[in-house]
Amino acid sequence: MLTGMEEYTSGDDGNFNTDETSVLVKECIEGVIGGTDYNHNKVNQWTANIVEHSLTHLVKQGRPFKYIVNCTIMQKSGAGLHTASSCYWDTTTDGSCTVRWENRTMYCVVSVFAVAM
Amino acid sequence: MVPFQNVFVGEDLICPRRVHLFYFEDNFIVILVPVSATLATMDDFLSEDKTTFIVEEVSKIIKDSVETVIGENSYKHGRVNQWTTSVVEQCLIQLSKLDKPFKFIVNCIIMQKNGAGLQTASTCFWDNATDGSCTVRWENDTMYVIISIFGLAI
Repeated sequence: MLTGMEEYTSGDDGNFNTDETSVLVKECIEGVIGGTDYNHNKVNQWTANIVEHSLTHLVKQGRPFKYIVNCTIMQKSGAGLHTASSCYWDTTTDGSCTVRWENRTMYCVVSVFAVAM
Repeated sequence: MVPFQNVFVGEDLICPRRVHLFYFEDNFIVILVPVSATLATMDDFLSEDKTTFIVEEVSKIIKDSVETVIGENSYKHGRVNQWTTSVVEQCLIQLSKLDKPFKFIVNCIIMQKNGAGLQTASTCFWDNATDGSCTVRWENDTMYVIISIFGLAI
C-alpha cells in the first residue's frame, strides 16, 4: 500500500548521500575559514575545527555509519598539490565525498568517507 | 623444542587461575588465564593479530609502496597523477593480501617543495577497540608525500 512519496525516499537511510554531505561540509568550511586569509599560526586550529564540526553534523544525522573526515589546507604559492584516495569496501553501502574550496590565499580540500556498520 | 610449545599447565594456588608456560626463542613466557578459559596453543593468543589493525605492519607497507613507486624521482607535474594512483593501488593490494576482515581507505597527498605551508587533519567516528589508522610522512629533495591508511573492522 503506497501512502505517499515518503515510501520511496526512506530507502536512502542505508546508503551514503553524497550531495547532502557535500552541502554540509561546504557550510562547515565557510563557517570556519570563510573570509579569512592564510595564517600559519591559525591553520592548525582551522583544520581541527573543520573536521570536528563536519563530524558532529554527520553523526547528528543518526545514520548507521562509521565516518572518517580528512581536511587539507594549503597556502596558495604556486606549488603543485595532488591527492588521491582508494577504498577497499562494500560499494553498495559505503561512499565518499570530496569538497574543494578556495579563496584568494588558500586551498581547502575536505574528504568524508562513510563506511556502513 | 617446538616454537610456542605449551610446556606446562598448572594451577595458581593463591588466586583461582590456570598457569600456562610457553617456550619461544630461549624465553619462557608465563600466561595466567581464568580457570574457565580453554587454551591449547599460543595460536589462541596470536589470533588476535588476525583481527586487529597493526600500525607497524601497515606503516611498512606504506613505506615500501612509496619507495617503489617514487623513490628518488623529482617532482614532475605530468607524472604526479600516475604516482598518486600507483601508490594507493600498491598499498591496497598489499593490504588485501593481509587477508584481514577490514575495509580500508588509503589517502595520498603529494606536494612540491617550494615553501608553501600545508596542514592536514583527520577525525574519525568508529570503534576504538578494533579500528585504526596509520599516517606516514615521506620526503625526498623535491616533494613531500603524506599517506594515510584507515582500517575499519567488518
